[in-house]
Amino acid sequence: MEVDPVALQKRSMFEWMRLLSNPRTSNRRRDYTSRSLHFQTLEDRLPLTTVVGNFDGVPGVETATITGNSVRITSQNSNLDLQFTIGNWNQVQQVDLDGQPGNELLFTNVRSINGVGLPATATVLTARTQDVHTYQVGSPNAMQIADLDGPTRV
Amino acid sequence: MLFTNVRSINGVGLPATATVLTARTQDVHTYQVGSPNAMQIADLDGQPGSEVLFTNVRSINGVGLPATATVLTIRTQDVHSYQVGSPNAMQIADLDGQPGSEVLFTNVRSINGVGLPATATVLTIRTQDVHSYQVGSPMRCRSQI
Repeated sequence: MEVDPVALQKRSMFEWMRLLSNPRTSNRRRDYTSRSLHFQTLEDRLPLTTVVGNFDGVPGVETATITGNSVRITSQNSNLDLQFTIGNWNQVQQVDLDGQPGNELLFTNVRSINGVGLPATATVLTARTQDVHTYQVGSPNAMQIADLDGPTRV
Repeated sequence: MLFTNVRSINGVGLPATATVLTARTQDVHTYQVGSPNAMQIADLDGQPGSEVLFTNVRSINGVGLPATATVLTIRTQDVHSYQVGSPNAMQIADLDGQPGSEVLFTNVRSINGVGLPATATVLTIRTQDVHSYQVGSPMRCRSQI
C-alpha cells in the first residue's frame, strides 16, 4: 500500500486513533512501492511532541503541542490558542533566551554524518510576542546553550 | 546558543568554526577558531559572560606536541590564539585568586617512575598573559581546584 506522507500528516486525531488501534498499522510495517523500499515507523506517522511550560510570560503554564512542523500553544487559563509553522527540527527544548518573562521554544536540527556536521538551522519561537525566527547556523555537529555575552541569562 | 563543529582525526583537530546565535539581539556570528580537538566553556576573564576555549592538546607516547589555545570572547567578539608550549595535559582552575579562571598546561611525565623535567604554562585571559614555569621533575601533577 502506498501512503502519501502529506496526507498522513493532515489526518485528524480521530483518524490517528483509529489507525493506531489497528494492530496491522500500529506496528512498524513496510510499504513496498515500485521505486523504493520505504520503512514507515510510528514516529513518521505521528510526530507528536508535547512541551509544558510558561511560554507567554503570564503566570501559569501553557501546553505546546508539536505535530510535524506545526506548533500549537494552548492555555486553559487564559484561553490562549496560538498556532505556528516552523522548519525542520530534530530537537526541541524550552529555554529563556531573551531574559524576558516566559520561555522560548528552541527547535534545532543539528546532525552529523561520521562527525561531519550538516547545514543546520535554529528556530526560536517566542509565544509572548508571537514571533518565529529561523537562523542559519552553519554546519555544526554540537550545540550548547550558555551565557556568553553577559547581559542575558543564557 | 553555541554551535560548533569541532572534530578530529587521530587526535589531530580539523579547522573548526563556532557559530553563536543571540536570540535577544537576533544576531548570528561565525568565528574561525583554529583546528582544535577539544572545546569547553568557562569564565576566563572575570567579566560577565563565559568564554569558549578551544585547544588542541595532544601527545605521542606521553610527549606533548606544540599546542594552541584559542579563546573566543563573545562579549567583545574577539578570537585570540595563544601558544602554550608542548603540554600533554590541561586543566582549568582559579590559580591567582582574581576573577576568572586560568588555564594550566603541563607536560609532566615519567619513565620507570622517574619524573622528567617538566614545565607548567599558565594562560591568564584576564591579562592575556602566557607564562611558563620550570617545575622540576615531578612524577605527577596535582592541583587543588
